[in-house]
Amino acid sequence: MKAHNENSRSDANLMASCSVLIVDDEKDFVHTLLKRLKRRGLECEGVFTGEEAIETVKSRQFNIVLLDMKLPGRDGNSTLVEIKKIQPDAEVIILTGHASADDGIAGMKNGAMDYLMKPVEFESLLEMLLKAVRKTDCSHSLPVRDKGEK
Amino acid sequence: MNSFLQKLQDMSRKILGLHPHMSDADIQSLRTSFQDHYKSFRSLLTANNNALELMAGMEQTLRAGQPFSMAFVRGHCTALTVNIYKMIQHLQELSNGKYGGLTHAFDSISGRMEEILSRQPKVAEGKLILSMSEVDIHSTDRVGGKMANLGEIRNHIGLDVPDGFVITAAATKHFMDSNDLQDEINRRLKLLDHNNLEELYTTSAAIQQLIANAPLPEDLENLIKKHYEELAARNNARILVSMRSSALGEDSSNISFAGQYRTQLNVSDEFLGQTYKEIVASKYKSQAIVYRTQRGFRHQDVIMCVGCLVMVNGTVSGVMYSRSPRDPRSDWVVINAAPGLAGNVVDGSALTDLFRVSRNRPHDILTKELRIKASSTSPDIPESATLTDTQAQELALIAVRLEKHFGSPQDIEWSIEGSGRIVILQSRPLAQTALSPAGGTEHTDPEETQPSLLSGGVTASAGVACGPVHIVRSNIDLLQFPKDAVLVVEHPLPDWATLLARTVAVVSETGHVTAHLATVSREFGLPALFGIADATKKLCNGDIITVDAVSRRIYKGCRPDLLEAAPPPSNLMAGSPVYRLLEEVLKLVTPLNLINPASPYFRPSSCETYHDLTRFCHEKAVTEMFSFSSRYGFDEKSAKQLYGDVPFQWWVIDLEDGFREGLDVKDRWVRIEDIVSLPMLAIWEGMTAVPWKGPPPVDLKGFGSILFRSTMNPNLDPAVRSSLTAKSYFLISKNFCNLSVRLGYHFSLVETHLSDLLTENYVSFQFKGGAADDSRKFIRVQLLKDILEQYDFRVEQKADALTARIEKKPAPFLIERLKVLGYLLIHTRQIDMVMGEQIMVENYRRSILADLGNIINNAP
Repeated sequence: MKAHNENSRSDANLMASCSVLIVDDEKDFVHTLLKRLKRRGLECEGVFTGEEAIETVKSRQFNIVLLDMKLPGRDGNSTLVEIKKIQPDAEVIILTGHASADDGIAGMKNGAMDYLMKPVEFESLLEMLLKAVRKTDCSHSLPVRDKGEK
Repeated sequence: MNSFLQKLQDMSRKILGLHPHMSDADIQSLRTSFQDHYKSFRSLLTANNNALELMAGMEQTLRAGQPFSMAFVRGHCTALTVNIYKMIQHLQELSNGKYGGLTHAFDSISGRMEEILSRQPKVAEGKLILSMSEVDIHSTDRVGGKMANLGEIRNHIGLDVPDGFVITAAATKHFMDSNDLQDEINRRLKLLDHNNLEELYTTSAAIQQLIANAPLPEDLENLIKKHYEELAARNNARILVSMRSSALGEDSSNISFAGQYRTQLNVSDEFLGQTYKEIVASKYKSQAIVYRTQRGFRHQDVIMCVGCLVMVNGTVSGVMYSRSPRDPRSDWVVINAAPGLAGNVVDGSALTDLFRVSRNRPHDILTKELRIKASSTSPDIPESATLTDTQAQELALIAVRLEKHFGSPQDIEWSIEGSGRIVILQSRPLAQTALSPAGGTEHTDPEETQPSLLSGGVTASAGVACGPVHIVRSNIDLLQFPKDAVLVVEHPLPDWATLLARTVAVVSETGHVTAHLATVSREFGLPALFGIADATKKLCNGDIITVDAVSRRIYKGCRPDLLEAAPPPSNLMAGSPVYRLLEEVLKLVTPLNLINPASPYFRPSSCETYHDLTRFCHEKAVTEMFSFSSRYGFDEKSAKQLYGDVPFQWWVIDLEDGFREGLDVKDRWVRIEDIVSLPMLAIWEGMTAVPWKGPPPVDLKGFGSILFRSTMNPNLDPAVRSSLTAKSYFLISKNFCNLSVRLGYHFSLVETHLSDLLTENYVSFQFKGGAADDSRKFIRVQLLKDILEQYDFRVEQKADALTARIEKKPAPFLIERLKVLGYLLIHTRQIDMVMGEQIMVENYRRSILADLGNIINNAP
């Protein structure tokens, strides 16, 4: 385990280098989350439907997608499959309130990294994002994490 | 990876247990495989922790009695199922698909769970409209409790009720389905934050609007018209009707939904359709939404039916109880009466005359309180009571008959027409407040010296509570209502019921025990004191007061003495549909049947619950990691014995980076200095901080108990090979440690992960066994529990087994707790033998706590 300061610094760098897409039809939720994540230095974007999500990932690279399961029109799982086709390296975290167990398991089978239940504590969500960031390729774009780095 | 491992395993077998010669490439592949195994193992443990935490949350919620919604149950079940699924997947990766049987067990449990969760209340099919002559108690599932009871009274008791008909649940379903309303309503409700009152009102209004604006199906509209015309013809006139809600689920035992829904009086034929829709929509009034959420009803559990009844021209109306709502054994009927229609009495806004009439023939009038005359100076108010003695006696007789017929005390709405005919408008079970001795009877304590701020009035709902005053006169006051304040109002209007989830007590200037708000307060277990004159003038917003609704006094400030003496609040959710559903689901979740890994019963097909599955997957995952080296002849990951000046014998398996760099991994021995696993070092520090003094001097009885049990149980005989005589192992990485300790007759397990992510951090501890008899083992486990709780562990104890957990704490905090466990593992191992005497227990407790105080930084 690394010293806390060192971790916070390099994690902050990691987070800043990553882009997050939030897909959820609860507009207030999306706006609040965007605001809070941006405040923590993350680059993020929000959309309200599966179709919008697919269009967005076609035109831009994302490292992490936070995906609701219950979406109007195209549902969460079918959106997940499409996103994974377009951007196989993006880590998809399901963040949902009322999905059925079948939907949840299908999400895992379709390649989601993890499943979070709403309401989620913001700090827990941040840790999940950090886990995803540490897993994804975006760290490659970072300078080597040097212990002496200021 | 699998084919490589398979090849290697085959090769090992061929050369009969001798380690095959491995090329560097083979060794590199093995290292990669082991890393993959370790990754799956870590993921499995994370899923295990998530699952255990979710289970604990569900159990805790059921016990706590705090309101929870269907969304809570559904959300937890799904998250739990996903985590169990992940555990099984990871175990299959670890074991090369050895445990296929788990899928069957998992599918069976999750399938049964889904069946419970998706169960929908059935809407009885049949006629869209029933005439009152066709309705009785057996029609409850078609017309709702209120109308079914009224039909029963008309058709089987023979009392007068208004003529009319009921638009049934099937009709409501037809209306909702034909407009596709339910999905949209559910969607809006799911988005609703129940703690945000403003949002609650907006959503409630929007949903009601949605329903009221939807067109009625033509067939239903025509049927309503036809039944109205027949009703008018029977009554020889163009009539007005009252339209009353009658919800399914309403009026069930102790759940009244009093005043939650809409009733519309004096409806003429052209407004029938619109009023019907508005009443159906009133299912989503804000207070009804709050009520259902607080009391554990799913919105779908309640289906609205509507009664259309000929208006009664009441000259006197009121509410009566077949017994006192405050005393189920009372021998009198309570009658509240006011001139005119019944509405004002039940909404609590009218002043009434109160009669207590004996339940026994000839129904003597016991007391009369003529409050209407007393409070009025108007010359229009007659001198006499609203009811004659004969009328009061007739009403009492009816109350007793209704109670006898329905089998429980009743809350009855009635009206007397100009002709003298008594008409029953409603009869439902009475919500009673039992006054337990702890709650006290009316306050007569001569020691009571503190003067009260206000006193008098009537106990609308018993209990004592303390909080800041918040006076509500309008909807704006209502929106600003702080949580846990005392609601102070002029009149106890049903609208204020929206606040009952936020308030601790209710004080009203007017009203009495029969008001809807009183009924609902009783159901919420909230103290309510009504009839406190000038309460809104004499109390100020923000003043802290204690409301003692039993002694009918309000005190300044907080009175802990009174609060303590009050009975504990009851579990409001208990018995509700959502509560029962969670209870049912938990039967598939929490019971643990797989206890002993050494038992032949410890197999996938024995897994009956999610807890069993987690237990099985965890145990087998540890075994897989443990046996990797022997299976593939991979010395690097074989168990190494700790040597040096160490108590007992310990073996260590390095999973990733638990040994210092440069250590010869082929060595069969390892020193503690070679270990860099932070959690293992912390446990070790606790183990070795105080030298073990050897087994305690055993009293003869304790020793006798061990000898006796050894002869009974071959597992306890060291000469017999069993899991109890196996070795003790540390499985480690730099941040992880799984320690299984088998010391003599004891088995314990410590598992921990420390990182910079709080969500990944935990310490878990299991302890079982001992050689002494059950009572001594129990006392030791009890002692362990006490100590662990002092160090912030969440402990569960079942007989002589104990599990303890801490999650989501920073690593330095957990390191200190690991030292505690290390110490306890060594120093409590044989004290069960001396647990016969209380004084010895206390001595050990003192000495353990003193030692821990020296070892641990920031000991409690």
